[in-house]
Amino acid sequence: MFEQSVERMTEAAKLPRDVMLGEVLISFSGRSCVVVENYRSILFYSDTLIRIQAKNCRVVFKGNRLVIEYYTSEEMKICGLIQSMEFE
Amino acid sequence: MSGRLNHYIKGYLKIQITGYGPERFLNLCGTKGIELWEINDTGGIIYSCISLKNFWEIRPMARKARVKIRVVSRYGFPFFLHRNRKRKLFAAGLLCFFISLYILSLFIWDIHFEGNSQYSYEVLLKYCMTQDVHYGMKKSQVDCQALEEGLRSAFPEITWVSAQVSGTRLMIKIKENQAISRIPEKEETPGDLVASRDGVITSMIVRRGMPLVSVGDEVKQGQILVSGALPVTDDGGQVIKTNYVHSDGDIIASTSYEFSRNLPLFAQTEVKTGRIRKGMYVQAGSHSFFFLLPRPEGTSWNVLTEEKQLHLFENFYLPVYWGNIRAEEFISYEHPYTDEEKKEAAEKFSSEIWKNLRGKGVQILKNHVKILDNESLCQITVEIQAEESIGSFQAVQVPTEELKETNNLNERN
Repeated sequence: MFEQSVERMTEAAKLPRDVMLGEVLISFSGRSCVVVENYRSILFYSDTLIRIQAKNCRVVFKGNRLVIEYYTSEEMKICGLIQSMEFE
Repeated sequence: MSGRLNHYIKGYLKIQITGYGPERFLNLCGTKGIELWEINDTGGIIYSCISLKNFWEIRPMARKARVKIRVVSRYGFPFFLHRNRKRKLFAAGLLCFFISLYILSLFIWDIHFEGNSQYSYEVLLKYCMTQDVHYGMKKSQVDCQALEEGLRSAFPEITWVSAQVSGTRLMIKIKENQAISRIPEKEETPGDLVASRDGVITSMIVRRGMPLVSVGDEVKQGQILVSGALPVTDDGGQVIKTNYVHSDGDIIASTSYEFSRNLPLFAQTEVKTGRIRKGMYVQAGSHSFFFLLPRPEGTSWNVLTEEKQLHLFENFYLPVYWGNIRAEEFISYEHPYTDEEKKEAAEKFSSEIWKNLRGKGVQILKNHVKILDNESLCQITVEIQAEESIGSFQAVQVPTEELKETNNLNERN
């Protein structure tokens, strides 16, 4: 109930959803780099698949030679040959 | 970039993470604010970089995530120091380098002038020397304001000066006055125009003075063409006084020149054999060293030395010279001049004369080149018909009484 009202308020005031609702923010730079913000944790990491837990969903990156350039509590940058991204 | 530099200065490690939950370990590090970078997976083994400071804090997290941490390699400045801890002389050398760099940065090593066109670099530098501003002086002793004021007062054509010390360079920017600062004074010395050469007058324009010759007259060198003495006559034609003026005018006359040169009967020709000797040359102060193989007996060589002077920066020259020496062997022999060679020599001689005369403002109308050839002598004669200004000023001695009157006349004018 509370969450729905916050969502309606965000829509009405046209505020950014990642700030108000804590939704995951994914920024791609071409197909080789992606910056992920507002995530909770890493669920699985290998050089071909990275599964990340966000607040409302899970994000899966598939590719080859995936490397986490940096990893902090706020954001992470993934580089490599990204083939697909899925939400679970 | 700054992050990488920061990591290098503080030191970082490459670690290997193996075990039950490497992802959990990464999450725990994330929540604790421990930064990890360059995380990559190679067949189930995860490698990551971590700063040296954070490495000592990951132990409880590794235990919680049941992973094993192994240090693969160490990078950064603290490890560099540790590796080279026994190299005392290296450290001393490094320290000396920085100290000498600091000491050298306290002095002026280059004086640069910008915007000077009337005053040469040497003139300005000489002035700076007199003001105790020179190469190798301390930066702290340079008084830019005094130097600016001094330059402005010593050189009247300089309208604006800015002196500043940038690094080890003294930059002096100058703006010079482009307009003429004073009107040239009118020449008032009384005198005549006399002929500088023999010739026939073709045109005359007299601005001041009394012409004594006219167009078509033949004049000799030294003859007065325009007189500066102006007689004042009364009604009866009697000269009552003479006014003296500075004669001025353009007197153009047709003149002729004749030049001749004797050529020897035999020309000496040098032919290179193709043998070359190369060497080096160094001169420091009064000491010089040559590195050149000795020449074989009975041979002739042309030696060319290319000299360079050692200099720091742009204008700070040191008394050290060096250069390359190139010696080429030649054989010389004599042979009589051929007709073509004579023609060539005549043309060369003629063009030399032309260049010389044109430099003096002589207009050449006709040119005859003759080659007189007999058994004992070969003579080249160049006859030139030209047109030029022959009027040259010659001051005259004015009697003192007349001078007074002339001055009064000039004042009235």
